[in-house]
Amino acid sequence: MKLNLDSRILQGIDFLHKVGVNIQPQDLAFFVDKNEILHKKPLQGIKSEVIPTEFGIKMRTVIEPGVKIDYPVALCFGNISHGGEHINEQELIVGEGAEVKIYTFALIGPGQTLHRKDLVTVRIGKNAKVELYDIHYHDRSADINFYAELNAYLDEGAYFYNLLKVTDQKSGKFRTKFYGEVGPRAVAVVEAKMKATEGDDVVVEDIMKLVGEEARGLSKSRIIALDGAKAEFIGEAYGEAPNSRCHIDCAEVVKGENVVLKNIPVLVSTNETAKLTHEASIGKIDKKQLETLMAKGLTEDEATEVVVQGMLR
Amino acid sequence: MGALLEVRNLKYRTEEGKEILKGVNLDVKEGEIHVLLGPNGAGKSTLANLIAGAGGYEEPTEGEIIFDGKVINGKPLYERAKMGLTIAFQEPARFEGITVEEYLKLSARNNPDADIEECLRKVGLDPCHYLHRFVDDSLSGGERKRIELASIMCMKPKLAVLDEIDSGIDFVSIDEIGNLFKTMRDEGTTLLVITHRENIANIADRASLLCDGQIVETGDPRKIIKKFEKECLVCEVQNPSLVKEVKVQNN
Ligand SMILES: Nc1ncnc2c1ncn2[C@@H]1O[C@H](COP(=O)(O)OP(=O)(O)OP(=O)(O)O)[C@@H](O)[C@H]1O
Ligand SMILES: [Mg+2]
Repeated sequence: MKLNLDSRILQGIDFLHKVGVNIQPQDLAFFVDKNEILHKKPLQGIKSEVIPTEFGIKMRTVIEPGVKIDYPVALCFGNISHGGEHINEQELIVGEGAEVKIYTFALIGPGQTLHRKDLVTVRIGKNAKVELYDIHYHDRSADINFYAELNAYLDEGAYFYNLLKVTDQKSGKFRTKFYGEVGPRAVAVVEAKMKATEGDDVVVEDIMKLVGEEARGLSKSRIIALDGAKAEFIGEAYGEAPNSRCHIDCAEVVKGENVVLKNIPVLVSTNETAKLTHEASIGKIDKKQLETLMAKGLTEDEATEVVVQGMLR
Repeated sequence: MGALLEVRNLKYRTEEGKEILKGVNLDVKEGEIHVLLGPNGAGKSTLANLIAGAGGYEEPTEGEIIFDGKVINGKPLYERAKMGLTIAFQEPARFEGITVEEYLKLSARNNPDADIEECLRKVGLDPCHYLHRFVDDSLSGGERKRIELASIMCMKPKLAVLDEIDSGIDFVSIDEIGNLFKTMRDEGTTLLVITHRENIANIADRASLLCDGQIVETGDPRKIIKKFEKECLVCEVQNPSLVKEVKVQNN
């Protein structure tokens, strides 16, 4: 059964509310249900082309040099009534000195069997600033196999922040790969917050290439694995340029039994002035944190929930 | 007033057989500020953890801890907290993604009258700047300790065990903290304060000296401070390195 257009958007909005995103239909710039464009409004300062394809869409978005977008841009890429094979290709080009903050929402409705790929490329010009928030809603009843790839190229002095959040319901079989090339004096910060529940298999891979002098990279991941989940983090930093710095910080927290966790940091330096560091932890929630909260009268379970919610925030 | 906390012949031996507490007897009276002095390694934190049921120290090897008339040996930390007994750790934990406001609200769960902003002001932190900050690594050691103290004020327990809450806080504000302890006492929280600072000890109603796993004396704080300075700081058992230093200087 096909739903009418409006109800799918409303359903998407409802999913967003469930993951704590308080948004209204009028705030959305774009809504696509697999390859059916349900809503698209022209945005000041942004040129955007979208072509529906057999399995999804191709989108190309350009922000001209010097243009500062002073409102958050909200784009929904949903699977509300379509499962099956799904491929989205997106390219974002941000000109010199431009600024933008974009929210992309991946919304997967109930009962889907889905094989989805999101392939995103971001090109950030000199001294431009881009913030990208990728927030997911995966319905618990969906059977999901998701691959999300993000390639970012930062020109001199550019700033890029990316947050990937899959913290509600279930992740499914989810693999995300970030690849960043960070130019001179540019800064890339990528954060992943994931919750893996029973039967989920999550892989987070971050690759930072510091190709410009004084490039900075930070990869920070927080993965909570509940009963019967599998999670893996791979963090790679390549210090190729003089005085480049990168820090990889990944904490994988177990809450439950039959959990399999892996954490693989790789640091490769080809320049003697580059500095690469990593911080990795796998295990239960820190006892000291629990006790500090239990001393306020919280039970161990309540304290655990507070710590987990804080980490995934 | 009667004792709110009674510690009777408390012994604690580690799994490896090391005796840390060797029969501690201590009364903390309701409504007092009681300071616990003692050299490094005397067993102060061990005693504090046993009283609160923290750090895996729920059950002593021997002896009894009586709080508010009930034996609390073996009770978990959060149950003791619900009874009105709490502890501020020597190193309170930090939390990603939890704001100061949320942290204080959690602390005030069972005290609906708590004024969170006022508690922050009392510890010298401006709510405008601190309420929305995270209780994470971005706070300095002193700020974190002040927030812990504010959280105890929000909780308003019957008894708070403060393990070196003053360490890491600037020297100039020590008097301020002494006054804060008095306010907390006057508002109904009895305090057992572990400290190394004389001017904190000076504001106490009573003090006890813990040495080598035993309380050697309880009484007037000035007297206890003198004893601590005269005997403990030059004691070869507890402070061999310091004694050596003193001897070298004297020679
Ligand atoms: N689990 C343990 N195993 C072995 N020794 C321990 C253990 N816990 C504590 N100790 C030892 O017990 C003694 C008392 O430690 P405690 O931390 O209670 O001292 P303290 O009086 O609080 O010292 P400080 O002033 O340095 O905080 C120390 O010598 C310490 O090394
Ligand atoms: Mg101690």
